[in-house]
Amino acid sequence: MRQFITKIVLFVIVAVVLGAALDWAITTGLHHRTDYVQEVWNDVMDSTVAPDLVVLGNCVAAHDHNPQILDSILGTDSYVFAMSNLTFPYHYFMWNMLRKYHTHDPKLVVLALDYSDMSYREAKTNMENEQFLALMCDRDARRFLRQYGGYSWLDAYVPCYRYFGHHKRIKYGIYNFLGLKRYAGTPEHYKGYQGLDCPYNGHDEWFDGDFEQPIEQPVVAMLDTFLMDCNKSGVEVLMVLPPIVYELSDRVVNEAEVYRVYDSLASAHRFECVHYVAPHWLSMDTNHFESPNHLNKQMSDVYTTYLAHYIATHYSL
Amino acid sequence: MAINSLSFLVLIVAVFVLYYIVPSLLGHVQFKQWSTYQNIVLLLASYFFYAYTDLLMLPLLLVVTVVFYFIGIGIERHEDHPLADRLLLLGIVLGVGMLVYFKYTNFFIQSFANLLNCCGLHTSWHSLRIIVPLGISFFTFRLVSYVIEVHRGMMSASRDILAFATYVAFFPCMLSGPIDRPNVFIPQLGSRRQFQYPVATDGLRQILWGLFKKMVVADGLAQYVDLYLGGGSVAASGSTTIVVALAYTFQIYADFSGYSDMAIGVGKLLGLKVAKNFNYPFFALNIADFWRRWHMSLTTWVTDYVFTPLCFTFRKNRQWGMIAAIVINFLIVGLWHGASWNYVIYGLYHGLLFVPLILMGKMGVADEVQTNRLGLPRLKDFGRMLLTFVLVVFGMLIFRCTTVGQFTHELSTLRHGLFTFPDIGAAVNWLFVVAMLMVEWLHRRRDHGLDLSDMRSTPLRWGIYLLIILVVFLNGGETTGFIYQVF
Repeated sequence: MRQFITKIVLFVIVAVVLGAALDWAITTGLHHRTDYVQEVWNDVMDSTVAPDLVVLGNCVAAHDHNPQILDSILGTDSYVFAMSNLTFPYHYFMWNMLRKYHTHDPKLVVLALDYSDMSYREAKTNMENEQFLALMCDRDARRFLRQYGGYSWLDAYVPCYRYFGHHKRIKYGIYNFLGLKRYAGTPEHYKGYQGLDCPYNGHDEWFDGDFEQPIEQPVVAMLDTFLMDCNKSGVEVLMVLPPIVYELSDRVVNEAEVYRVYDSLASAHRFECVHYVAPHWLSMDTNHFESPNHLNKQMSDVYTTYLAHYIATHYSL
Repeated sequence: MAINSLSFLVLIVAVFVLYYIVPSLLGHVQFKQWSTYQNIVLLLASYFFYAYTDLLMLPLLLVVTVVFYFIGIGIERHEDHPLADRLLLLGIVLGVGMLVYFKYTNFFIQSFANLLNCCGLHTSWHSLRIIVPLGISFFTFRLVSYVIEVHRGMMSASRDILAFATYVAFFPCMLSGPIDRPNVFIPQLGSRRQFQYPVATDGLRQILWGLFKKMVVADGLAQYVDLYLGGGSVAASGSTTIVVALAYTFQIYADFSGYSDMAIGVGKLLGLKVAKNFNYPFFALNIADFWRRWHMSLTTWVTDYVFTPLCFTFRKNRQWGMIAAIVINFLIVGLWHGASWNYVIYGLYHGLLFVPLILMGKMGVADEVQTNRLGLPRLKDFGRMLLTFVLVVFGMLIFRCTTVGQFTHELSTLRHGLFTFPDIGAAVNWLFVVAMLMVEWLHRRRDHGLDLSDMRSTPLRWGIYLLIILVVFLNGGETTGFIYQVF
């Protein structure tokens, strides 16, 4: 029995050491990738950018805010730090990571919100979950993802465990670690922005029935804390509700209630909340959109110009 | 709780500690009933495992265990008395009745309603909402087997309800077998199980091999098979249908034999010999040989309790009696899998494949594959293996199709594009199939594919284990449930 247990323990140690080496190789390899999520995260964690204007939000932020236009109109340096398909707790997480890795605070944060942002979404089961795998090497990221993201201590501390089943990430990580350039991915964005040059794809079935969007009080409290932190640090926050196609707005039965929460929090902290959702003209034509939530490339430029002029007249950067 | 899940690993470690380490730490305590203690650990683990998976049906399992326990005692007590026969009948009716009620009621209702509709008598019968208890096909066969063996005098009725209940609910075999025989399994529970290093390490190797087969080979092929045979609208050319049927054959083998390997491996770890379920069936030389190697615990069960008595009953009809017996036997094998006409056809198909063998008097002949100098099968034997394999693949296509309509549809695809290049899915999956077949061919005389007990070099052995774990890690993840779990 003693021999058996000794050998099992030894084997587990060998396996864990080799697993840790493999984990390190995959994680390092993934950090060398230049696809959308990875490159944005690299820019955060490598402290390679120091923008004065930061756009935070989900995919709406990524597809609607063109930093090239913001930079040219405002004469500043801007960057979009977005995580698709996720809600405010993740924007706050991104903000905390930015502050951890950057000594320089931005002057203005444009917080792009939509009707879904006051709810929880589990990162682990999210369609965009692969971006978090390589992040687990960071202690704060680990803590956040365990607390809110649905990840377990096994994901955080057992080597390779979190990569199990993520075949593409494993493959890309290893190939990149080995220096195979063709697996590095192609940069798909400009400073976190990704224009969508496609016709509208909002099919009728997308609007099949009304739905209510949860307003989670802990998330509301988190937004409140975020705004308070920014206030204390002297960082201006502009909350924006970017355009959403009116057909979708009509389906969210408590949309007005969600937006009231945003408005009241903004005014409580003496920030502004600007609405571009319906009935704003940008939201009233399906030809402006690529999908119900995302403007097409051309209209995202129009919207960004609008927003940039608003910022220029109300803020000094 | 799947047998290849992390929660199962935690359960095994906990059971192992309580089962072996606690008694060895308390070795100085004079406790004559360590075997009872070990049985309690196994039984609690088994009920926990069952409740974790299907809490609602745990009371049913408890009740039938107690009922069959007393039936067994009753049969023994009234030996050579008509009451013993009646009790045996009661046991069989209860076991089979339970199986029929839970698995086949809706099938009979639907089939009868369809028949009446065909005759122009329209009915408004609806299916009943019956929840099928997990593993029912396996534990009822264990129970029925027990009362028959006691009645035949092959074993004495168990007076130890703990041992009996552990036999019925033994957790590694609960959901997908193997179907252990009571006269082999229950006596093992009568004495304290001592830890045996070579057996335990071999058990771990078998678990690892089972994991490879399930998580790499079976789960790798599952998506591809489901794409074409999952009832979706993806059209397949004739050549693709053939490749899909091949893929399904390998998938079901890797899935089911992988489960069996893991169950047997866990049994070895706990010092218990669990019935063998597969013996490299793809190397069978004829269909009878295939069934001696495929789902062995079921085929020996039906051979002993259905085929042999039927042969005896039909003995006056000689070969035709045997043919009738084998066809009935395989109809039962088919229906055991589930209440669907495709399983009936599957059973009938395999029963009819035996007819030429019976007529040629070759049914009971077990040939050994002859190999050439390279260790490969000789051409004649290879031809026989290939023919058997083709027949099996065709049978698997029947087995996989959920309706007769789907099966005829799959057959109709063979008329088009039979000579076009097929969609084979991910090539790497086929690489693993080849690797599995090669390893099993080389180890075909051993207990399982990863039987490395004669390999002296520890680094080499550990290297092989780590390589398999790495392959499981790199290719696993998209786990599907075990195919036989639903039976």
